[in-house]
Amino acid sequence: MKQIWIITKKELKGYFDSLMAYILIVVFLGLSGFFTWLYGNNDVFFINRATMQPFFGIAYWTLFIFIPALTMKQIAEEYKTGTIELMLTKPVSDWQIVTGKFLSTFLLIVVSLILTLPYYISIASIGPIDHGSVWTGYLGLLLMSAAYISLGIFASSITSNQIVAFLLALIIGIFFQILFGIIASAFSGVAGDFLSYMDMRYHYQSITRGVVDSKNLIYFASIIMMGLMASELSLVKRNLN
Amino acid sequence: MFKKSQLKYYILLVIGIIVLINMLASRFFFRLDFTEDQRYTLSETTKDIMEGITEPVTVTAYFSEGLQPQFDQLRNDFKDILAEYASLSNRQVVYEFVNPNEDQQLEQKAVEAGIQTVMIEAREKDQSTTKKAYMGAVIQIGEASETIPFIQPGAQMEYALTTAIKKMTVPEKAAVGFISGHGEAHLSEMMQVTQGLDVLYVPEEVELSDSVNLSKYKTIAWINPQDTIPEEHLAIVDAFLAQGGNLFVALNKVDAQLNQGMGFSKYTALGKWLEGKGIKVEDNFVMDVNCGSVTVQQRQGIFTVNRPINFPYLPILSNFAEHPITSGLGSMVLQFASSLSFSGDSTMNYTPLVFTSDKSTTQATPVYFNIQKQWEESDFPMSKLAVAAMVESDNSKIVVISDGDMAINGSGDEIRQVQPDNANFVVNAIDFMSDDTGLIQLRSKQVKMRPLDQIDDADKQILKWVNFALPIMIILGIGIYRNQKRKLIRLKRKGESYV
Repeated sequence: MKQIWIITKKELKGYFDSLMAYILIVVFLGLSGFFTWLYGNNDVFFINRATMQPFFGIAYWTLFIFIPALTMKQIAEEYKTGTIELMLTKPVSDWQIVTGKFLSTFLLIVVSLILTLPYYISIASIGPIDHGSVWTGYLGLLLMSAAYISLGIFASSITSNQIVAFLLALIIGIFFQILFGIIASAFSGVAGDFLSYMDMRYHYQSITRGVVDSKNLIYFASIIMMGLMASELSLVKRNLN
Repeated sequence: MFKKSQLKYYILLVIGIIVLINMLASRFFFRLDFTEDQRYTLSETTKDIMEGITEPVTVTAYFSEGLQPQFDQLRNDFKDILAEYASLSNRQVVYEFVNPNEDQQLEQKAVEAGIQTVMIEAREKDQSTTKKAYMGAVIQIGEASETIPFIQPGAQMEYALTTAIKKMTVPEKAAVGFISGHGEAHLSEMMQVTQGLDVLYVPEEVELSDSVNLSKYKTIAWINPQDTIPEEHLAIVDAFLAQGGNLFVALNKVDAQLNQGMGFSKYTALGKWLEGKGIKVEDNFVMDVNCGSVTVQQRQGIFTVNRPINFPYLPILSNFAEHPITSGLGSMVLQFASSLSFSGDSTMNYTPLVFTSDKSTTQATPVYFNIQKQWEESDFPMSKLAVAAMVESDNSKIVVISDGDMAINGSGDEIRQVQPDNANFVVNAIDFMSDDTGLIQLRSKQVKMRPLDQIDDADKQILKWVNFALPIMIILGIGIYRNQKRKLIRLKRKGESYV
């Protein structure tokens, strides 16, 4: 655990010392703020209801783009600069490296989402907001982010090229974000049910409306575990080679 | 550490475990509803109704498969809610899902049962096609059956299911009388109210004449009379109340003539009669800073543009008393209402039910409407004026709301939807007075609105820009601070005295 935390801290510090992370957070907050408050078609004042749904709707898409950009360098850069060999000579396991890197990106997302709390405070001050569904909305965003982070780290673990890692993470993400849902409509029976189940939007929307269902939690936990384990195996395989 | 040969077994094992857990999770699951009003949890009302069921309830859900994901989600949600009903009723509720698109006979059966055919865009073999789809259910208890023709995404399934079950389990529906003969709204002009009442009652129009027998009603409603009401008709209602009957009144004490730009008092004799019963409807117009808008035409250069402007005579009300009648209501919208006050004595129990906001006022008649006026907050010095109230004396109850049009849909070309909670208020009041509060909670659960407070444009702009800029400023501030700190450390390291 200590090793994981050391890696997490180092990576998180790295984020806060890099211009790239600031640019991405500013873009995330800019898009979220613009579509939640300023864009006169679906913003808070246009729909005139005390709800955070406009934000949860836009954050679902911005995080989907934002996360692969954050995770692309996580392991790919270590391969490219050769620091991964250095790291593996230390008394840390592959799992600890992967988990440490996962946690650092996750904490960065937590910080980004904390910065959107003024939205919540403002809406709550001008209308009877449903606090329960706001907190589950944030939970949904965190779970979705964690799932994409683990997939992003996996993409970063199989290539030393950051752009390839970014595109790969985005392509895997597109399946969960859009394609599984669309392909599901072309199938019926078990295949259709399976593809519908894989669609992340269904699970995300279920949580953001205010209901925490064990099925959704297990779905997200499964994606996160699969991503992290695949990343670990990718490192293991590289070492074995 | 792994050996190369072990790797593939490890991968297969992990995938197998994860698939197994997910399969088990779809069978054994729990749901925690964190919404304030427990929107997605079966309510006490449903539980009470289900406990009273002695016969098996069979639900046949006709849901097309292979549609867009939101419809798959709808099917899953419906399945989940039926699972909750089944566990609540000790498996008295049994259900099956049928895909009518699979077989022509099944489709025929669905259509015959009254399931609505909807056309949905789908993508098949690289082509966009319009697909026939079904999303409804047939509920059967013994010989009786009820159909939910179409469940749309976002609809309140619990309300639809429970009301359908309740409809079939009510032994005999009671009648509710709607007084007519003085220019009142007809039942056909109040679709939303009659739909709500249909579950438990048979609404019927009744004319007050010497031979009329009101004793079969527990509650009668008097919606928006236009003409002066003769004394003898009021005496018949007096006698009905004396026998323990209840009365719901929606009354216009003032009338707005928008084409003349004026508002006047309106006399029907009902107001004066109600004053004797303990509720005085004032001759004034209630105005609220939280209000609806009217569209006005304005000339801008050579163009004429339609612009919505706030019109305080259309109050949006979200202040309700803690009372079964107003339980769960979100917001009502009235048009040209008046304020109410208590005019009774200590033998009566007066309960105000619906109030204006903290920034409201009244204008005595006659009123000249100034559409162009820029309203300031200082124009609304009053607060929480009652616009609906109940008075109880002896065994009877009277509920009055000071807007006769609040639940009228109209007819022909002038048909309109009223705010769902306006109709819910009328139905809830009749339910409450008829001693059947069972569906009150469910009905309002369907349409919980959470409107924003009315704030002026300047504050709105401030909120918009602060929320847009503040988070960005904070993160930029953190970045600049860390950058400066790093610079200082670097400078320190460059210093001669640094060791």
